Amino acid sequence: MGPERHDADVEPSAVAADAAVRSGAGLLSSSPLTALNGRGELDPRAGPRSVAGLQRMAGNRATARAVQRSAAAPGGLRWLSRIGYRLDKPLPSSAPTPVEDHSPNQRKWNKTDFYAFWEAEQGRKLSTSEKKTVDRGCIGITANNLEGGGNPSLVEVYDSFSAAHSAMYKHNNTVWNTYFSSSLYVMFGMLFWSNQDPDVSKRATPDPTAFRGDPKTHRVDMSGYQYRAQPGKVNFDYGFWDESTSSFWHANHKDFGPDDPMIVYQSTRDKFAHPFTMPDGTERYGYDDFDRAVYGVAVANNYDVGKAKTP
Amino acid sequence: MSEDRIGQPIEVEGRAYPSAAGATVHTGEQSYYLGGGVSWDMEMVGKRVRVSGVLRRRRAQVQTRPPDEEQEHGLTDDTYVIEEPEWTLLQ
Repeated sequence: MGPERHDADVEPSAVAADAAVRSGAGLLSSSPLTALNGRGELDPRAGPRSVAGLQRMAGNRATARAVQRSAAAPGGLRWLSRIGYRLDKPLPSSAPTPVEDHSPNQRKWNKTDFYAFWEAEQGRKLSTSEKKTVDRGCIGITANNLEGGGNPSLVEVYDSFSAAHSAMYKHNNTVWNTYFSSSLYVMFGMLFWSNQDPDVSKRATPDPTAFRGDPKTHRVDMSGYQYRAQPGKVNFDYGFWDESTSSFWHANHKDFGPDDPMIVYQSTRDKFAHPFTMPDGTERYGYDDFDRAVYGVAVANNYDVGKAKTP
Repeated sequence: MSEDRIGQPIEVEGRAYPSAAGATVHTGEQSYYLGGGVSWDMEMVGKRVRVSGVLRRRRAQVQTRPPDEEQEHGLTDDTYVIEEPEWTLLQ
């Protein structure tokens, strides 16, 4: 199964423009698309007529995206930020104090500090609804960035970080996503228990064949996943991959108030899904709660990747 | 496990594992979390330990909901916690 485009979610005029670009340089050379450079940024020399033509052809949303890319380009006016701080650098004196600092592998933060990091990067306040989503714990952090609520899409999931990262890169560099889409793909990690038997007495041991990647595509079929935990263990651990700090953002659990608050974890790839083997030879990742580590790729409709500073 | 053991002193031996909700000791029949914020790093995986303290039951933190409903992150079952734990590494 190859990477999918999500044309159903986009403006028809923009799809037509995408097709026009794909159809050849003849059309391109005489179209308003010449206002775009090779990186999908608006050419600084483009006049109002070119911009208006691009708006007619691709729609307001796509044109705004091109203008945004242009502003974000080197020399542009946008100030880029990131969620918090890199793990491999000392914290500046202005940084809040982490709950625990195990850098360069992990830092643990108060939830309110994470709110502040997110808002500083994204340039806007989290709404009450978005905070409620984040407060659901690890899954909430990822769900908020993807759609602002719900559960993260498990339609496109891979069995390795590198396969998912490659897929994300390809998605974000299609003609459509380079020139027109206002949302980019992101990736997230997910640790969980393979045995999803509804009978808890039959769920204690791993299912050795469940949720394995296709040997060629590395895609994992998650259709049978029911969010069930290994008995007596935590149900899952989602981590939002933050390219700008090269870390996963996850959590201890949902927020239970001052007596048992949600603590946000910032972890390296290895810390998040560290593999180890149990005495019986079965695999685990991160904690003994989880025997699968997979990586999802999805569109971030509630998080502007373009505002994240590249490493 | 009988309810009358809750709140009583307990001592168990088993293997140590790092779990998402804290350090645990598996006796083979039962798994216990260690209270007091104890955490074990990867070097402790599978090591034999003896743990003593006071037994407490911790209620499930979240419910497993149908897949089309919003999920929450946490323990979905009641678990046993050894509070004020003292532990020693066994050879």
